[in-house]
Amino acid sequence: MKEKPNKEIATILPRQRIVYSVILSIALVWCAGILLAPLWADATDFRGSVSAFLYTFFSKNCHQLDDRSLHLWGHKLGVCSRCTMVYFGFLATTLLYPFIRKLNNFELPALWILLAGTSLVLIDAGLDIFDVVSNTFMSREITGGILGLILPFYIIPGSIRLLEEFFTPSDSLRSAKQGSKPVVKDKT
Amino acid sequence: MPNKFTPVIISTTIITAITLFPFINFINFICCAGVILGVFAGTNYYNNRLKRNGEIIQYKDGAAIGVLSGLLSAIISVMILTLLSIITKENPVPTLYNLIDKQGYNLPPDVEQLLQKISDEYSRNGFSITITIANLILYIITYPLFGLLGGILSVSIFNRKKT
Repeated sequence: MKEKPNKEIATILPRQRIVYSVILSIALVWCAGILLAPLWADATDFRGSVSAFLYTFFSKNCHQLDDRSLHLWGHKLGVCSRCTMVYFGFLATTLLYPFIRKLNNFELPALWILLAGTSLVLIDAGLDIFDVVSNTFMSREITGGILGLILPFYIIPGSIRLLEEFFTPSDSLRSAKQGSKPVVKDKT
Repeated sequence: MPNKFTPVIISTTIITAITLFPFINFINFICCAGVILGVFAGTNYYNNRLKRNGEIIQYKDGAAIGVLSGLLSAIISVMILTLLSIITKENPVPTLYNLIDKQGYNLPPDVEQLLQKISDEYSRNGFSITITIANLILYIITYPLFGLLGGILSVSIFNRKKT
């Protein structure tokens, strides 16, 4: 993704690093949970309870069907194969993000990239749900992985912008000038 | 500046409907896509109201709509699910035991005890307090989180369209 130079903000502010760190931490804990669920499934102490909690936690946003999930240590992962690739793809991009783009670069990639990634998942799932074309392990993993790799390029700058809005006067943000960027106050 | 009450209501209604309706709620199994869709709808409404006033939507608007509607829909969904459980008087524990037996799993004693406790609650009250509280905690964690993501993504899309 081609970067446009951002002339208004030269330095990466500490609060921008904090936002990035929070997102990375959440992604790490989330992915760790997906792996810990099967790892601790056979434990009889508190780890068994943690495993049961993790499976229940992830059941709210994943079907966890056995035949559509990857298996490790004799048990299915906390989420299905598609969701696993979404979350691990997200984690991979988040880890590499500071090496790809600067944290103070608020330019978002083209919208069609996000829509394309989302459409791939919807088409793959939709065709299977309506019995048009059955999807495979590979198609679910590839489409999920693509979406997971794309999402941080929108969520990380969006989250950093979210925090910046609290440090920027409302008036300079609300006026709808095409292509105008917020003036960020550096209080450090 | 328009208030966020209507967008939050729109998002909450859509998220709750998606959560409760059979088959439609499958969409939430794709990383809570139903929550994100609901928040997108509310944020889109708010964006259109702001455009009429010549203003642009900010990330904190999307985040606020996402988190509030996630929280509200979590609470309302659990309340309605509990109500449905009381009306239908259905105890899911025997069905769960059958499934576990078919898979050939052996449950640890403390899990058996917990399932028995839940089954007793269903028999006594028509619903399980344990399951209700567990559902409430889990929904309150996941829905506002994915609501926040949905808000940020929605604002990214709307602001990206302008540039």
